[in-house]
Amino acid sequence: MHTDARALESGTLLEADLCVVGAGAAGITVALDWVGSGRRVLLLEAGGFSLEADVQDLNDGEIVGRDYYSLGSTRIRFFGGTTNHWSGWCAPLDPIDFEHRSWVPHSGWPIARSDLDPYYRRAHELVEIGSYRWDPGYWEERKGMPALPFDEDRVRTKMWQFSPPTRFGSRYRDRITEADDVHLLTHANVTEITADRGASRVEGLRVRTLTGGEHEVRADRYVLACGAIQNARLLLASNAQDERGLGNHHDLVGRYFMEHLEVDSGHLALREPRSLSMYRLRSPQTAARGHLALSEPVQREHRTLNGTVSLQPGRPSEAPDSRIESWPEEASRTLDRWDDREEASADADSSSPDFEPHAHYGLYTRIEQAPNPASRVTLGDETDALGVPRVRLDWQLSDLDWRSIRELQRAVGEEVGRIGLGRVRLLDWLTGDDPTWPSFLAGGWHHMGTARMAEDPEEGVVDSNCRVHGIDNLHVAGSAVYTTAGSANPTLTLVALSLRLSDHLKDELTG
Amino acid sequence: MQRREFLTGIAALPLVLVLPTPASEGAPPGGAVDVFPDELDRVLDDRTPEDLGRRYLATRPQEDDPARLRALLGLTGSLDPSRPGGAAERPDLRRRARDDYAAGRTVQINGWVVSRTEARQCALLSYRSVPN
Repeated sequence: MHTDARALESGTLLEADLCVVGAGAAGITVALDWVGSGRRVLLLEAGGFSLEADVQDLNDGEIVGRDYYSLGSTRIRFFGGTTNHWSGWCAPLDPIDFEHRSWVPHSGWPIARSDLDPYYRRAHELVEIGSYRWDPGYWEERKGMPALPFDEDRVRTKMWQFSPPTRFGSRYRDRITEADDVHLLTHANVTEITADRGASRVEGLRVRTLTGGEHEVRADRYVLACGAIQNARLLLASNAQDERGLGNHHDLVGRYFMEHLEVDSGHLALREPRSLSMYRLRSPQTAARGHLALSEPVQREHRTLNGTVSLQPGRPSEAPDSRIESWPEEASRTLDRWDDREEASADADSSSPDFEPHAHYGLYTRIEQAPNPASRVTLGDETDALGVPRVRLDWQLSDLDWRSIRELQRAVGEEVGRIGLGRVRLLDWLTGDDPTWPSFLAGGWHHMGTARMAEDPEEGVVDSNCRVHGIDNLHVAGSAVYTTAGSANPTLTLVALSLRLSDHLKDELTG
Repeated sequence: MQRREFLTGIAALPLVLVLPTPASEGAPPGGAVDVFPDELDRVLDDRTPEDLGRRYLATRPQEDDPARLRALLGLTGSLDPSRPGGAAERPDLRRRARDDYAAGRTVQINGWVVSRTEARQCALLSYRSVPN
């Protein structure tokens, strides 16, 4: 069922067993899981079914820390959320990503990779990727493309699989809107979460439309699934009962904002040109691709973060263009870029799987950043058109982040030398003694950690079931709950976590 | 890398290490030990090994001595194959370099990740531009 909130008479009360706020990958995943449940599920989406400038403007905010992309264009506010410009990269987090690592401050999830494995399998279906096979040997055989003969105890091949990419909005719209027990309400902006006097239980949600309508939602359980930045914003802005905001007894909401650092880092010079097809990418023909990754023993020995290196044909530049500076501020232009890419991919010659051999490759790092309480989302001084304070992002990095990138490149260089493949040169920005970040450092639009998961309320905002500490009926879905960013793009994991949360809520509501 | 030109240059310097081996076939008259790091051939630009060598020595002045470098590389004893046992004493520097990589005995010079053995080979080569 679908209703446009703008068509409702102002003052409408909507009631449900479960209310999911936000219809992106996380929210739609939860809602889909309740289709046919016989329960009343309300799915609130701030936008409609396509981009609208006045709705999208509600995402805009202020950057006060390191340079970052415009907050108005990194997230998309209409049905399907940020999957509307998702690139489709999928990989599960590694087991070590969940562990407490003594050299990584604030690391350690209260769950293990094994807790997520069954949900990763189910997530594969939703993001429309292949079998739950992540061992390089499987893909070597299937693709006929050998992995490099590295010592797996030092540098291993980590696999990625590529979603079409699944645009959750268009892909699952019919299943949602045709369901009897899921009610999608579009153009419904949650402006405040109202709680009881002790701020220990959510009593309702205030919903506003840009046409002036004001409504109220009441449910037994609530799931915030608006993305890591907006989730934090809503919790902080819901401060009628507690000036610190909801779930913020320990000043943790909005802190530990994390990105995946993406940056040109090295030069692989080969002794002879090679295709290295296992490590190459050509959309949309490439179903899977290998990256070079630090093994767990090397991470432990050298006390590094987890990350990977991809190979890009050609000599790398010492000063490539800054993606952050060159990326458009308008969300419509970012969507246009993705449309252009998809059209080009569709026109690509899918009959030639061979890759040209090259003697030189750029080494591009993708790596987690260490959880950092100084890296945070707060409320700014300005308000949006609905009177909600805009966000202020202060993105911060640490020396461990820089040192880990250098160590990753060095380890790859040693393995390249050991097998006689060629030699590796670190780019200039990594050769000094003191950490300095280049202008071309980028992020992947992966917003994580602002409502981090921890069993101890003094360490995290949500518990291992994604329930906000101290609030019985409020849960968070999505990458906001990530304790650490891990070594992979967040979408597959946040879908798996959403399925796990959904199972938990079913136990609560039906048990 | 124009290796033969390079060896011609090095042959004119006091550093010449006489050691004809299969690796030095085509070496200039008088013969010179082939201390060029084999696997850097076709990887580095022509002048890079010398540059790496000078940079290496700048950070390790204690090794800035040809005799010491030769000793560290195992190029000791009689290296003249015309003398008994000379050729047999030439170390397998390529193997040593591979072992260095496996053991993490690497250095970063101007960004390049090279084995310690290769760094010392480059350092030895860098003396070719030192006047007599």
